[in-house]
Formats: sequence, structure tokens, C-alpha cells
Amino acid sequence: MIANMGETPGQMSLNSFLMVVEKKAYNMALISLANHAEALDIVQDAMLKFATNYHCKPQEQWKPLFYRIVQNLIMDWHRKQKVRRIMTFWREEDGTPEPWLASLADCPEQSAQQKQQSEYVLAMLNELPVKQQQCFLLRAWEGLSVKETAQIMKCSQGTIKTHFSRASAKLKVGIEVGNE
Amino acid sequence: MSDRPLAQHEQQICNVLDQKLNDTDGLTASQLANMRLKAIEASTNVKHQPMKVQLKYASAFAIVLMIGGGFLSNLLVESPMGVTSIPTAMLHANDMLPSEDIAMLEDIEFVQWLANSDYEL
Repeated sequence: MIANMGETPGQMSLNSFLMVVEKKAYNMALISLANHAEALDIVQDAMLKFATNYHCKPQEQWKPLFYRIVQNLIMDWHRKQKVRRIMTFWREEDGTPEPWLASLADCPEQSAQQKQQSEYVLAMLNELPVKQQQCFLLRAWEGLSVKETAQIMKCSQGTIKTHFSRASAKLKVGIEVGNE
Repeated sequence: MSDRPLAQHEQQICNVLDQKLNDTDGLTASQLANMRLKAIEASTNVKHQPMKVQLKYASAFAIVLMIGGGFLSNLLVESPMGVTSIPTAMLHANDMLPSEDIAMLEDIEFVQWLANSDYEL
């Protein structure tokens, strides 16, 4: 933990909180955006917005608030990308591999089979529609409740359940196909 | 997950994600740490802002008050209860009198004045 001597308890708790969520937020953004630099930008923006506007809120609200900011930034990024694609429809997409796949391949600790499985799972998650993908990550990976996820994604609890079950069903089929 | 336990395939995916979390490279981790420190620094700078915010709200309130006050005063002036209206019909009363009558009235006034001045003398 990076804690300076002059830090107040509030700053220390903010530091601890951000330390816990930063990597997950980065990975969520990376899975959704498939771009290392853009994912880092989103995490930076989210941290700054959270620290400047919401750090005075009660600590039990921090997690949903932080992920809500991350979600909004991810959705904004996708909207901008959609507009950019429409504006530059004549350009061909470059065929460079996603950096997160490349970074996985560089990891020496993992066995070839583990690498292959990780790449496959991440690619499956990346292929899901953004809302299903984020819903799955928030519910299953981050362990948030339906209510919290609904608040973060600004939709009803029923919609969250639908998104999650669809995402889960697609991932199940994907894993079964991968195992065969 | 807080609502129901994860299914096997969901748990498998979460394990992969956790593994990926642990395998975050040093450069990315240090970049994230720098961002975190900047955010914490930004949060300490924000503590001086309430005064600015209050000033902003005060000036906005003053503008609203000015606009609202002007609007309210206009309403009061225009309302029948606020100021008694001038009987404009009276302004045009002279137009309705025939010109001979006016001349006659003027003559009467002159005769009255003449009589008064004679009496005074």
C-alpha cells in the first residue's frame, strides 16, 4: 500500500479503496475496449472523477459509485466509436491483434493450455454485447447484487437478470464448444 | 455473487479473470498507482472548493432574484389590484362635447370672472 506519512485517514481509505478496484476496473475496461491505452485512460478518468466529486460520500456507496463512473465512461467510449465508424465507414479496420491478447501471450508463468484457455475466455467475453459483458463482470466477477448492478447500469433489475442470463448462457455454450 | 452461487462455467470464467488480474504487468501496475496518487492529490485540492461553490450558488441566486424580482414587479404593475387604473374614457370626454357648448362654457366662465372682479373693485 502506498501511504505517505502526511496522509489523513480519509485519504488512506480512499487510497486503499482505489487500490482494490483499480485493477478490476482496468481489466473490465480492457475486456470491453480491447485497447490498453484507452482502458488506462478510462480508469484514470474514473479515479479523478470519483476522487474529486464522490470521495465525501459514505464508504459503503463508493463501490457502486466508482463502477457507475467506469460504466458511463465505457458506454461513452463505445458510443463515440460507433459514431466514428459511421463517419469513417470507407476505412478498413486494421487487423492488429488486441493488446490484451498479446500481453497474455507474453506471460511466462502460464502453461500453454492455461494461456489458450485464458485467451479463449477473454475473447468470448469480448464478443458479448457490451451491456451483457459488463453485467456479467459486475455480477459474477465483482460480486455485486442485482440491485447494485441495476443502479450502476441505470436499468431495471429485470433487465439486469435478462442481460446476465443471456451472457451466462452464451458463455456456457462457448465453454462447452471450447472443451470439445 | 451475492444473490445466488455461481454456476460452474461462471466460476471457471471468474477464475480466469482473477488469474489475469494477478498477471497484470509491472508497467501497468505502476501506471495505475500513479493515476491513483494523482486522484488522491486532486481530492485534497477539492477541499478548498466549497467556498467557490458557495460563491457560485450565491451569484446564481442573486441573478435569479433579480430576474424574478423584475418579473414580479411587472406582474404587480399590470394587475388591477396593484395600482388603480386611470379612467382613460375621461381623457376623451372633451371629444364628445359639441364645440358650441365649450364656447358657451368659456363665456360663462368669463362672465363669472368679470363679475367677481367688479365686485372686488
